[in-house]
Amino acid sequence: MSAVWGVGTSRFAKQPDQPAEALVAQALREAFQDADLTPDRVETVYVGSVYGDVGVAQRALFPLGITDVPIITIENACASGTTAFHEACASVDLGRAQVALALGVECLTARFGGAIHPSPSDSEGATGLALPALYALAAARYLHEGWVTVEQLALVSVKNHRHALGNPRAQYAAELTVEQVLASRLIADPLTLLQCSPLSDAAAAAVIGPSVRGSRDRAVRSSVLRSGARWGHDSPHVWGYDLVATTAQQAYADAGVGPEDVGVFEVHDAFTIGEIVTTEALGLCELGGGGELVERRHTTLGGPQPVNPSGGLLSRGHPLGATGVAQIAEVVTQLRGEAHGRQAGEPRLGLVETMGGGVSGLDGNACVVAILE
Amino acid sequence: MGQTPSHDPRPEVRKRPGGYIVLGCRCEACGYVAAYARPHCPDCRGAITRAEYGPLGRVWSSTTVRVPVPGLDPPYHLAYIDIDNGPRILAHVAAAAPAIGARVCLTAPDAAGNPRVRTA
Repeated sequence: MSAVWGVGTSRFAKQPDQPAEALVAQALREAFQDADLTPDRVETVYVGSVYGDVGVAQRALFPLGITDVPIITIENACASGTTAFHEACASVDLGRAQVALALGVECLTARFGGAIHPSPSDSEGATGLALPALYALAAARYLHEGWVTVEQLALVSVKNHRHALGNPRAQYAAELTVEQVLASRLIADPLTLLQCSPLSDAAAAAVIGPSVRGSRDRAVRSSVLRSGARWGHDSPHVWGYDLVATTAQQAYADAGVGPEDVGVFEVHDAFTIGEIVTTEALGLCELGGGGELVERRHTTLGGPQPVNPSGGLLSRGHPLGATGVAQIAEVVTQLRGEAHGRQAGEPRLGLVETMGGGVSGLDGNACVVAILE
Repeated sequence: MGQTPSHDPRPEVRKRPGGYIVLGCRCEACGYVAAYARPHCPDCRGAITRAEYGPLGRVWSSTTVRVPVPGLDPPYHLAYIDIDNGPRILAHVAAAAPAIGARVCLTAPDAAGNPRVRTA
């Protein structure tokens, strides 16, 4: 069973003056120091990058002496970094490498001035479906069904911005009120600005080995990667729900645990509705219970099952390709009990979920659910 | 790279005597429907035939987009429409985001070629 030996991240911020090489160098220095390992031990590298330049991984790894080994760059939308982690674990589990590196890097602010939108070669992308609109359509449907209120949606943002106050690397941390979240400008109705994750520049890294060496390493109990089935008029749920649910069910089964056994979660809250739908799909509550779950503080730090103690994508930031690896770094830090200022009790198990989309008619491009101990 | 794709991936809308329709396909074996051409049924791999859907449908969800995306000036209104006996498509709506559950009717595409509906 593969294990995480070390993790590291850069700062999360709008920092267009920082090239990918500089962000990667920060994340790797920390990850190798954390793993108590030198970079020459790395035998293979998987890199999550969505909008990165051609060769961004090799260009960033070269100055650190990581050359001459397989380097594979992965684009899987928002789940790119977690896919890189999944594949790095698989390469170790299969014996292809003794030490693998999972890396994620993204420099978004130099590329986008506003909302990210799917490719114009995609039908709904060509029709103007910016990513906030895709989630807004799910949020509008949830409101229509009476499964969530606008106040409960806003509470996700309030909670995650408050969590980020304990995370010195987070892009935005604030004590907000529901009223402030709802009064921020509308992006795609009903989602307001403070319910949308920001554009971010950052890198994150995880060093993966074949087994737990000592008390600081964290075992990967399971990791599952799926792409979405088709989604349309005959789908029973909103976009993405079934993909997350199916992936999570397999991850729980592979680890031999259930949602009630997990003490800390880092999930894909690119938009507030995303966290609501995801907590339902992960089995933390029934369908339509996600709003009430956040309202009764079940998922708040201090509650029984904190979700996104790092601040999540909403507040830590969402550097697409780096996000999944940053989620892994957070859960490892939580499981070690080292998340000072935002520690989620003494969790034995932690779960990471990331899902990415943008292909019309599919329930998501990719979803990864990983359970760590 | 960087070039505008020459193929238009959006559903093809045509005018018929009874109103506007979407040109799509249907699987005769399992009933799979799509607003696009498919080489064979992605569900059961059965033979696919061309089919026309519309003009009427129902709003599954809707939103108003208030941020710019390339080629579109905000605000603009989008809705997922479940076409009667047919697929779900993304369409523009002229005046306002329609209520969920509202009956709508396909109209001529907008100037940019986007599928469009109006309240029926």
